[in-house]
Amino acid sequence: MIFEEKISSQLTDLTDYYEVLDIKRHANSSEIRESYLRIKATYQKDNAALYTLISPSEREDMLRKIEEAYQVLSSPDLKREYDSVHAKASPFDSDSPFSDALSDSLDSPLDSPNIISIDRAPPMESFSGEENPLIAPTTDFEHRPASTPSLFSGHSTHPVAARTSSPQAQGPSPTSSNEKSQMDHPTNVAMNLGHFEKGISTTYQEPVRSSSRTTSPSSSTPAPTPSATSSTMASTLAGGAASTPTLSELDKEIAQQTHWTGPLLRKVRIGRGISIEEVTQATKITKAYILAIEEENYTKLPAPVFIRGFVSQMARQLRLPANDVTHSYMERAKQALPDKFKSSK
Amino acid sequence: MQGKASPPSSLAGDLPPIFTSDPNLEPFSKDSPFDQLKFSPQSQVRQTWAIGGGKGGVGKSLVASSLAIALSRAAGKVTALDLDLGGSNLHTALGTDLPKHTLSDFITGRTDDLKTLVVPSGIPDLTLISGAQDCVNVTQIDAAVERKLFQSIMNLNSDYVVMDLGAGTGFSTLDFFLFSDIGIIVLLPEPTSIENAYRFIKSSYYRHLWHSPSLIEARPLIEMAMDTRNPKGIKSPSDLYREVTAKSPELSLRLKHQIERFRPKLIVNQARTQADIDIGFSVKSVCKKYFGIDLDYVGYLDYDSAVWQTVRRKRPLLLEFPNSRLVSSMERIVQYLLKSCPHQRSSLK
Repeated sequence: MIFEEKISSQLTDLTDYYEVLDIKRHANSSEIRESYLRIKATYQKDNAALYTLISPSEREDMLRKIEEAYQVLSSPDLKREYDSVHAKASPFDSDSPFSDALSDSLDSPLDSPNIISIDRAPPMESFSGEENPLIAPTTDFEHRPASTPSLFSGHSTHPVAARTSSPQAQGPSPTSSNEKSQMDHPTNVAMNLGHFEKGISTTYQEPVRSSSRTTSPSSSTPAPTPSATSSTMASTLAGGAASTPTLSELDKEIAQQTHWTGPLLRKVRIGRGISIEEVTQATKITKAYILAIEEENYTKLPAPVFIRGFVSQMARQLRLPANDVTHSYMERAKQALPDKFKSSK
Repeated sequence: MQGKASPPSSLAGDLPPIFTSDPNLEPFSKDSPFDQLKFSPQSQVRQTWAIGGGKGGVGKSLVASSLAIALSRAAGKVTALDLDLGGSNLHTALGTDLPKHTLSDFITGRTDDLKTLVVPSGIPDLTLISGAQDCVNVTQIDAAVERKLFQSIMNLNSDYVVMDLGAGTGFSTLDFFLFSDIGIIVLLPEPTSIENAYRFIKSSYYRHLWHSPSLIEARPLIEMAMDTRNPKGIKSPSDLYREVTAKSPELSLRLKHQIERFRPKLIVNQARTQADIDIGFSVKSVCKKYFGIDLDYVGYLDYDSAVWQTVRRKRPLLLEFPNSRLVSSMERIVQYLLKSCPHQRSSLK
C-alpha cells in the first residue's frame, strides 16, 4: 500500500518549525516574518477565531512554540543550521512526484521513510509521565521550554543572543510591517528570550527524575525484532559494554537509570534491536552524528541546541523518557566541553 | 459602499500568494460513498459546489446566488439548487418568485426527476430549482431519498450545480456538503458565527471520516468522537488520532489520508476591518492545528450596505451593482475556485 503521508504520532506536527509558522521550506525572510506575525496574531488572547476550539493553555503553548520557531527561522545562521540538520528526505515537498519513490516500504512505525518531522514522538501511550494524554494537540511542547534557552546560551556572538541585551531590542512593535526588518526583532521576542535564559539555570539544576518517568513498552508499538545487522553491531559497536539484554531486563535497567551517557544510549538502541540506519531513517539525523552522540565525541557535533534536538529525537526513537535523557546527556556534555557550552552571560 | 476595510496589498490585482492551494490535489475524494454517484459516465455535470456554514443569516443564500451568477458568466451552464429544507429563499436572492414546483415535489415523491423542477432564472445560462416550501416539517430526508437526490443532481443538464445549504448540522445538510466537489463555508467575523462554523466543520469532518470505507475499522472510535461524552475521553481530532494509532498505526495512516482529503473553502462575509479579514487566516490556522485540515481561505466580502437594498428590492446583487467591490470580490473568488480546483468530471470518464 502506498501512503504519501509521513507517519507521526501526532495529527499535526508542531515540532517542525516550518509547520508551526505555516510556511514552506523555501520561504524567504519577509515571508517568514509575515507568517510569524499572522500566526502570532491568531493566538492572541480574545481572538474570536479561537472561540470554542482552543483552550487558554493550548493558546499559550502555541504562542511559545511560535516564538521558538521564529527565533530559529528568523536568524539566517540558526536557520541554516536547522535546515542542514532537519533536512527533509528530499528537497521536494511531500506532494511532489519524487516522494512516491520514498513511500513504498512501510512496515513498522520505525522505518517509515519519508518522515520530515524533526521531533517524532512515539505514541503517547509509551510515556507514563505526567503529561495528560487528553491534551493532545499541544504535542510534546511540554518538553520544549527547557530546550529553548540552551539554544542561545551557546551563541554568545550570535545576533539573536546579542540582541537580548542591546537597547535596540526594544525596537519596533511586532505589528509594524517593516520589510527590512530581518534584524529588528519584535520586543517581546527579546523579552521572552531573556525570560528563557533566566529560566535555564533553575532548569538545569533540577534533579533528574527519570526513575519516576520510565517508559513501559507499549503493546501498540511492538519493538522491532533485532535484525542480523544490529546484532552484529551489538558485538562490534557496543564494545563489550554489554551483551544484548532481553527487553524486560533492559527496561528494568532503564527504569533505574538517572545518568544518561552516549554508550548507554547505544546499549539501549542495540537492546531494542534498532540499527543506526533505522534511527537515521526515522529522525533524519546523519549516521555520523548518531555515532558521535553515542561515542560522546562532542567536537564532531554542531551547536548545543542541535545536540539537544538530536538526543531528544533519539531518545524518543528508543522509547526513553526524552526529557530526562536529554537533560542528563546535555549536563554531561556541558561538563566535558565547557567551552562549547559557555553561556553568553 | 461604506465601512470599507483597507485591503492588504497582497489582495490587489491577481490572486494573492496566500490564497494558494495545491492545484494537483484532487478536489474530491476517491474514497467516499458518493463516488459511484459522482463518476456516473453519462453525467453532464462537471462540478458541484455547496455553500454552508452552520449559522443562519450569515449570507449563504446571497453568496450562493452571487457565485451562481458569476459562475454562469465565467464557465458555463449553472443550476442553482436550494437545499435549505427548512427555510429556502434562494429564489428570492435570485430575484424570482417562488415557482410552482419545488424540491418538495421530489422529496415527497411527486416527481422522480429534478429536471422537471428546473425553472429559468431570467439570467442567461442560469437555472433554478427552488427549495422545499410546502412541507414545513422536513429538515431531514432519509438516506434512500438522499441517494436518489444525488443521482438526480448528477443528471441535470448543467455544467455546474451550486447548492445553497440550510443552517444547522443535520445529517442531510452535512451529506450535501460532503457530496459537493467544492464545499464553501461562509462565516461572519463574530463569535456566534465562528462557533457555529466550527461546529459545522467538526460535524462534517467526523461525518466525512465516518463515511469513508477505508476507515470502517475505526468507525466505532469515530462515533465516539462524535459524542463527546464517550468512555475513552475522545474530545478532539487529536484524541481520535491517538486512539486510532493505538489500535493500528496502519489505520492511522489511512485516517490521516482521509483527513487531508477534507478541504473545505472559507469565505468571510461582511468584513469591515482588517481584523475581520484576518479572522479568516486565524480560522484557517486554528483548523490546521485542531483538525489537521487545510481549510482554504478563498476570500472575504466587504460589508456593504447596498446589499440590504438589493435584498429588499428582491434583485440579485450582481445585476444591481455590477461594478461594486463586492461583485468584483465575488468574481475573483469564482476565478480562483475554477483555477485551483480545475477538475472537470468529464475528463475522468
